[in-house]
Amino acid sequence: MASEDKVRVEVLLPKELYEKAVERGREAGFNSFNEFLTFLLEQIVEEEETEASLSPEDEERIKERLRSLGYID
Amino acid sequence: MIPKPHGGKLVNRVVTGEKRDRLVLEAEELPVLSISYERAVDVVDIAHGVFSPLEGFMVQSDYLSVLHDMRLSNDLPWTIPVVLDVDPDEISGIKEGDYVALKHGETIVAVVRIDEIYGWDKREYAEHIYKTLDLRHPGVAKTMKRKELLVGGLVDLLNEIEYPVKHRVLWPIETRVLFREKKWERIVAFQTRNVPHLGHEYVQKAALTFADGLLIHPLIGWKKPGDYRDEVIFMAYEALIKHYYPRDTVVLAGLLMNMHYAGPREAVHHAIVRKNFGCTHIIIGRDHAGVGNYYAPYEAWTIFNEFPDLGITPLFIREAFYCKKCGGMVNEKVCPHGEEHRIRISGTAIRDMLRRGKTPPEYVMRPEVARAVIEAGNPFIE
Repeated sequence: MASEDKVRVEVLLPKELYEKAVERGREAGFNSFNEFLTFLLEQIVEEEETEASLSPEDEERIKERLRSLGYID
Repeated sequence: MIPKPHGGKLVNRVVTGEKRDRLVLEAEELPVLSISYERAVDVVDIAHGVFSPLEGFMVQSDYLSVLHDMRLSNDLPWTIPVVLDVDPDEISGIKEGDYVALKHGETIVAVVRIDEIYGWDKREYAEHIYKTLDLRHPGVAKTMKRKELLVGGLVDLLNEIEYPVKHRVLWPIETRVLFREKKWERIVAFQTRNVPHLGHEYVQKAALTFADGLLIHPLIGWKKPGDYRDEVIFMAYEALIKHYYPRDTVVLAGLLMNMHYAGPREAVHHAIVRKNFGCTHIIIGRDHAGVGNYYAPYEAWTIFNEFPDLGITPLFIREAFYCKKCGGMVNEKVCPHGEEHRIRISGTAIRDMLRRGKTPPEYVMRPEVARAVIEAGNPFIE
């Protein structure tokens, strides 16, 4: 990701939590707390884009196929 | 929570409607590259988002990055190159920026915009991906037969290809909608190419204990003689699920995808693909996607240490065996008894019995499963 796509924010965290998180990220193989935090936010905060971008017609077409194959009632 | 697709967005390169009509006409005027069934399978997988975030065949920067660092050039984990090989003769007169039609048999499967044409070292590929140059390794043998140049570029799928049990194959967008409908949030994937014995059932149920649902995901496609036919695998699993799994805990769906026998690298690849299908976890075998003795025991597990940012959790559940003292299926982690009390399940022995129409013992295979396989007639690829 290009640096112009990033923002700098200041976050106030409990010291103990921060230290634990830094340690956890390091143990998990992340190169920095920033990298670890970005990964966590991506997993937890971001909305599922795919389903959200499905049109109602497409979604109904998929459900119809799933119904016809017996995957849903 | 159902995970985001790898890279954040589920790829859809299936062209429909008026755009497809126009491209089909245009494709007839384009230079044609004939592709194998395996490459056609890659095209279909790219287009349906199985390989998200890939939108086409890899360009050189991604290819080399995957080969050497097991990551795409944008640092996203990726372990098996997805590349289109061509002969210099086929591609003469074609330059970067041109469009070509990809034809399998008599069908134009897709149109590709050529972003890059580049050379590759097949020996280097084999050494990195398969960890051997031994031509007895099926992946190495196939690699050495591939063509001399690679082309990278975006794919637009115009026509689906033929494949077995088409009515049982679901694409990532479909499983994602399905899991949401079922309100499953913790979904475990199980990769297979075999009919289930009690060892498989043990591992699946161990995982299901903490999950909302299980995706049993047999690989569909090219098989070698002696492998179970795709239809038989489905019949066997349907019998198992009907008799031995709680209602609404299992989805059985086929995955049309090539098998590489690349061991640890392919284990990670299988995980990434199942993340795209919406799974939160995947069961990884001790010798996942291995063949012969090319990979060390547990190498398919330790490789995951290099990918803390994978976004799907591997489950390392030990192989199950029957313990006469315990009186059931167990594994080394939970059974204190010696080898003399243990009966290991042999896939080869099961095949031999089924081939002769004999039902394996009940501690090896459920009788309903064995019956389904035997009644299928010839359960194996000739």
